[in-house]
Amino acid sequence: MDSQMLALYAQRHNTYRFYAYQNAAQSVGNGTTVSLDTILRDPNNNFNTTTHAYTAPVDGYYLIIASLRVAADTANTFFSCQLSFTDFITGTTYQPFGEGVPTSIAANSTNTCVKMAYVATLRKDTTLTLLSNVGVANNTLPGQTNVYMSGFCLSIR
Amino acid sequence: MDAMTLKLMAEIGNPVKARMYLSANQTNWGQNAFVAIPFDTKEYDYVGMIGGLGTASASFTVPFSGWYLVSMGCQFATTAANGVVACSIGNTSSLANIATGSDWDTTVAGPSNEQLTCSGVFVFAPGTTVAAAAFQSIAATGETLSGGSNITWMSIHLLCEGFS
Repeated sequence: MDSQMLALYAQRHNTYRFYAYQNAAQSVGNGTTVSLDTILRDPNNNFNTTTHAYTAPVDGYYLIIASLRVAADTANTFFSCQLSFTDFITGTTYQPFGEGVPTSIAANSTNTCVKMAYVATLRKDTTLTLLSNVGVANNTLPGQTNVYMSGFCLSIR
Repeated sequence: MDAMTLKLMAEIGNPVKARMYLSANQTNWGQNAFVAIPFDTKEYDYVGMIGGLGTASASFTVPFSGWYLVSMGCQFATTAANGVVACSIGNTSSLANIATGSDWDTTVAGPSNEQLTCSGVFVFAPGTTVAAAAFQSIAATGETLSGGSNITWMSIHLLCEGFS
């Protein structure tokens, strides 16, 4: 098998991917783990809907896409999404921010949504979660298209 | 194919990836123009894609044609008045010619923590430079772009080779 065929084989048989979303609304605050309670895809069984966390099967570079939506934002409150995982490069917790709605634009808006796409360097057997950051607790607007996190292992360490 | 072979294939097959970030706050951010983010710290870079660290030329240089995933995030700290903040991905000669990202138009003075992101899958020719920029219309002086590895960052990862 030549290198191109090997690469194609590796892509087709890469089971290190997942898609989980939130089915039940949640009141989220500052640093709250988003309760992703439903699995749409997880062929390697690495996502836990009780802890709302993905456990990395291998050290690797994972594309993570996340979306967080709240039903009704409160006047002048900050609202953003954030990942939390153990970085295999440093061995420490890493919490990169995604999109964040500033204080004034969020005033009394509805269905506010923030997103992020990030290549996370996940350490084997450690967990990845999605966090919310809000100035005042708010209720999420759950659903497969509103509050979700998906991941795909792009390459291995 | 066993796990070891798969791991070896992934390691050998795709070292074309890199990430950098801005470590320190940048004060007095330029007004009414996309300004290049002077990323100053490398996190990983296996094939030498990162160049110009700490300068307005901070960027990735694509080694060969292919489809690349590019993502970036940045944050304006507390701002003095209302106005527009935005971000983009471009090259060092045209800072918003690849993609534009978050674009907030604040209506009340004094917003804070305006976090912006931009990402996409793009097809690049060899030698293309890929940079990130941030925009603010708030004030000529005093606006600050926040530093921090988890706040203002940019990454690139090859997905597959070729134009087709």
